[in-house]
Amino acid sequence: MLTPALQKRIVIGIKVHFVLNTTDGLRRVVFGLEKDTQGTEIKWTINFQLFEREQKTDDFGDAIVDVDVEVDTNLNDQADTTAHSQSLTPAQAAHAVGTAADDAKAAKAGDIQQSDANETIQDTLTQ
Amino acid sequence: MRLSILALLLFVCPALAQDTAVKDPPIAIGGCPAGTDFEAAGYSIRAVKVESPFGFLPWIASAMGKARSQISHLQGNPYKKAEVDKAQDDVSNVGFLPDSPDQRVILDLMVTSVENCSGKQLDLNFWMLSSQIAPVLSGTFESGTQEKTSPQTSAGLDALKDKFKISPSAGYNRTDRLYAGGSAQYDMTTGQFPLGKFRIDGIGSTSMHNLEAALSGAYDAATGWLAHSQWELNYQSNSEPAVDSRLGQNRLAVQYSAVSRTPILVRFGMSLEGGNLQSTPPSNVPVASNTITSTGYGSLKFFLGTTGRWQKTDNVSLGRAVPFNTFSGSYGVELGSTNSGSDLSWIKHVADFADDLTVPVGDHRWVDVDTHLTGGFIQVRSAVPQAALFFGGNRQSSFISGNDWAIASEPFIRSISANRLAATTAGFGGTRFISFNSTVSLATWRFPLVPAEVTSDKSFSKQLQDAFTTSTNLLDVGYQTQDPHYLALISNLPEVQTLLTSLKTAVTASQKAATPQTASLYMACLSPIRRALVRVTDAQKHKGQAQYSEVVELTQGATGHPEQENWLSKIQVACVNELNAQVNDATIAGPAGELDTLHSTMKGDIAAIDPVASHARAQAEMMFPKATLNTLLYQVNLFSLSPVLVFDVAHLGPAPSALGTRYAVGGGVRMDLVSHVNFTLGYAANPKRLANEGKGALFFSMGLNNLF
Repeated sequence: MLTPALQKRIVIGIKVHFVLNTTDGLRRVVFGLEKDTQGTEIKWTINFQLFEREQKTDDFGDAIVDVDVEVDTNLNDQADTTAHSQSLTPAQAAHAVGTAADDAKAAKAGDIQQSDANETIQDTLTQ
Repeated sequence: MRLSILALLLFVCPALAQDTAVKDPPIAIGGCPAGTDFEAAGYSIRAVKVESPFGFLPWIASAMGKARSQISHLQGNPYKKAEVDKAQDDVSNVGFLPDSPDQRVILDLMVTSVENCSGKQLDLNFWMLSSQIAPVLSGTFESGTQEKTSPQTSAGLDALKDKFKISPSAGYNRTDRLYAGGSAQYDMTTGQFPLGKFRIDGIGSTSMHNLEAALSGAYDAATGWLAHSQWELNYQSNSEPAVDSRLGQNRLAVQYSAVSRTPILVRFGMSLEGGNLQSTPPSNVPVASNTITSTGYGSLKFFLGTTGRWQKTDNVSLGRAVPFNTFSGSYGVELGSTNSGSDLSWIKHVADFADDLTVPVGDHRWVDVDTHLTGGFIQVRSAVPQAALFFGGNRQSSFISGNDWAIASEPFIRSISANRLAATTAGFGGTRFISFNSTVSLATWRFPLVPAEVTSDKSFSKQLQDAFTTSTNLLDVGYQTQDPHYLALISNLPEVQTLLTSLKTAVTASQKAATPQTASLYMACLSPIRRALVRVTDAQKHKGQAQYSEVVELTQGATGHPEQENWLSKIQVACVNELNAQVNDATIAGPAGELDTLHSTMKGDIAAIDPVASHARAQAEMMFPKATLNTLLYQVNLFSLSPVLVFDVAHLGPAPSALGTRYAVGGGVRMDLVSHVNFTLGYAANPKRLANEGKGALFFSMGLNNLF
């Protein structure tokens, strides 16, 4: 049986929070990128959160939208990674902070069905 | 002098020692087996560490201490994946940066690693980097230099919490002798009062003093062509030796400057100042008839320039060190008077061009080529104070106050002591000069800011690139909402709401007469009306990106998928084509027809929005934060030692070449320790010197970063 190679340090997790504030300062988008290594298994997860507030002097409360997407690990090793972009187009980004967020909020308030809100959120990827 | 330098280094040593002190008991150093599931293999946690490259900043150290105490329970317990994951969340939730909604881009990076795996025990290490980057100011020439010497400032870590900063400095040159001093700044910005920062800079020696105190304020606009404005009330007092003489100034100034939000950054400003200028020229040198040795004065300065940063920031270059270049070109004019009233006594012009090219030559190793070309000219209309003339030497001076924009205003030559390039055919001090300076350095011995495990991970750079692309696209939409056609589009929203309400009322009233054959048609008509009303109501509550999707999807559906949303079209189909074709109700036909006409106008407005212009603006705005982040991650070192080569040539006139032209050729070494100190020590020879000048000059400068 082969003895595993020794490394001075082994990274078991990388976590990135990328925060973007909208130009009016009232909405905040957080992209969380997380790489998790357990043994030989590597998993990338993308988290999208949206926060909103009435005035710039208020605190951002809980996220209006909080979505986790697990990246297909088969894509990790592919050389042409740009072919598998996880970025949002302008229309998708606008939908995420606009209609998707409003429907999520409306569903939470009971104004529309949760299934309708889920459908709107899922539409983000087909914009 | 040697003893003095040694004393200074000894002064620095305790500071250097702070980071190198062993905080934990010594343990056996060993590697860890790759590909191991440490929980399944039965490892336990020997020690837990929380680290940050900016841990030398007191508030970061405090956050690290708080994080450490939250996860200390892991120490001595078996390694469990779920608990380590929770600890990661706990550490990242501590908040290494203050909440700053005015910063466009904020990035937190955490790396969790294990090391020293021996005897079924391991050390667990959490490494945290937080940064927030100003979109426009990160594109200036001065910020490019700052990234290498003070990355914590580029990363925005001292922007808000660092209320009080003290940065000592010291140096030596033949004229000033050994000098020491520093800078202290207190940030009391509240947003309520326009002057939020107080800064005092000063250096002094047995032969000179230079003191500057300033009360300043600034404003960063999120949109509009003017990105950054700053203003300052500034007092300056200095007295410096020259050749067998002294030069002095006391003055009060008010200054305003601004940076534009344009593809090529434009800077401009003005200042009004008044005070007195004094000189005691050498007794054996005659004073020209139009030169005044000591006098009160007033002057008005205008300055204009451009600055920029060139760095490849496409999909490929984010994630590896790339060459980058920062440049600036500035012109300043001073209208001065020695008389009360509006008499114009002299006009001083200065032009300064600077370029800094950094080329990577290996992992976190780079060659840096810094060049400056500066020139000046004084038109003497009636008289000029002698201290306002040009004097050259190895001290740099700026035409304007503050550190955010430097316009060199005197010939800089490192082989001659400060103010000793002074002889002209007109006497003491010049009315024109030109100087060229170049410095080449090579970072050889270095310790990177960010661990190699992160920077060598291709997936990491790919994910980061995607996050930047999304941010750029979101900003793109924000700029589309400023397009005149978009503004015309949203001006129709109140009328759309009124027509939808009228249509709903008409359909609801007509529904009372529904037959079993038409009942489902009424429901199919009312459903899109309700959804459209929700969209148009939400759209009027919001602005910017959030409003955009509500309006666009209401009007024309999803991009490439018109079957999604598109409620106004669906209303026409369900209410006009299907329902009213059956019931033929004029109260439905009226508002539905008006809505259809308005819908056509709105679709025309959407089609007229210029997405190319908005995309270009968004890319331009995100380019600088992206470039800065790339530099912080892939090029900046926590510690570096660099050999330095210098070459200068300067001419002070009016004078023939033999009298007015000097060269400096030399070299030295530069050390940067981001956390505490930077110093440059070198020697520049003066190969073409006058009889009373030395063979060259030692240049030594040292700056200690914020102590508290």
